[in-house]
Amino acid sequence: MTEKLEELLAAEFRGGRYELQVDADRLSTTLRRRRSRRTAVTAAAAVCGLALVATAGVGMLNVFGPGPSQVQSAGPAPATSAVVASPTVAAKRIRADSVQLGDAVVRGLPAEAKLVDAGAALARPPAVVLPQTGDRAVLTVPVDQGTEIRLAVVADAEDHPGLPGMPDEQDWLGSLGGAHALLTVDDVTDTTYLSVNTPTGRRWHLAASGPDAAARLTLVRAVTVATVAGT
Amino acid sequence: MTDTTFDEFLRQALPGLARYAYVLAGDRHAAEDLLQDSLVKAMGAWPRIRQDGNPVGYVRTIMARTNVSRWRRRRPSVPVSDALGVKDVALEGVEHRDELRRALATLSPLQRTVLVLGFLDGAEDEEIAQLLHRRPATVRSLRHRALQSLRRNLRIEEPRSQDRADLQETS
Repeated sequence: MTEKLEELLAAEFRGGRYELQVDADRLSTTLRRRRSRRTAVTAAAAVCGLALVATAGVGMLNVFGPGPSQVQSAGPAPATSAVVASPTVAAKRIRADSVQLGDAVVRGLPAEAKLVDAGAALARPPAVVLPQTGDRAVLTVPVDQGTEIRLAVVADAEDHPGLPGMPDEQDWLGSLGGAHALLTVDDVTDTTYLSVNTPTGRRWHLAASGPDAAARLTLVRAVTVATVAGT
Repeated sequence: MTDTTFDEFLRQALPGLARYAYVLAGDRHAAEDLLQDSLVKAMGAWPRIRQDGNPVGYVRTIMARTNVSRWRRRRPSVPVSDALGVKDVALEGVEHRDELRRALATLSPLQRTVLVLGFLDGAEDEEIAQLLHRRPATVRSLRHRALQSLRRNLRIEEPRSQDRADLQETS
């Protein structure tokens, strides 16, 4: 009986009912138009983001004196991605909400976050763009509906030329004690990226992957605010 | 160059992708939206997708994820019993495709996507779980509940299926 229902479903999905006539040329035109609209929005957001970062940078210089002056922009992501170098140091859980990465500490983690093998975890899709250098940790964080977020954190990478996706300007990015931050959302890989340069010269890079964008943002915010505050 | 290549890809792959969108969405208009949304995303990431070497698979993955990401916004709004209005339909009655389609239309996009990935693509639970960022046990649970709902709506007797056995093993 079960097999019968399953067979019916397979036949239904493979049947001829679902033929959808779409004109490729017209669709191509529509896609290009939508894409250019989206790019324009991205560019506008990037300009606003840069303006805010620059303003925050000036404020930081006034308050803290010279600090890292590199301003990041959402430029083209590096062609290489995902599976990157092995961690140079082993990440270690030091408290329920903290993980040690060399002399850096990642704070603000949910208690249920689980430290996993970085190489194996990052070998699985979605492929995310991470700096090639730096100490790294990967954690999985369960959320609602049986889903989970895979959070990759890299500390003190040498450099990275940009982040994939579209910039997402959040108010709290301007309240990180003078740190320069850039947040982007990549819909293709369901990943939220964040890079932060702190006034003390520490660099953080986060990539949170999971189907729920709001949950990703909540996690990234909690970790960033707690971590940067403790840096 | 990227555009040209994407256009070539579009012309070649469009019939299959359009059909896949329709199967996932279950509704013509929703399928057109899903197709466009997914292809806009693919267009933006085209260099990476092309480099990956399996653009059709990549776009289908985008489609499945996009369909799932909409699931909270698009729940079945019509009670199953009202939608079907059928009673004592024997299994033979399921032969009437319309009844099966109406029953399928009451599933959430997430449940439907799990069924499509399993019964159309033949994907294993692990693959589906990875693709949808769920756990394998969650995938089994979603499929079990989807099939249970279909059986209930089609008045098919509940068997002790392998699916149910699998579910019990994981719980």
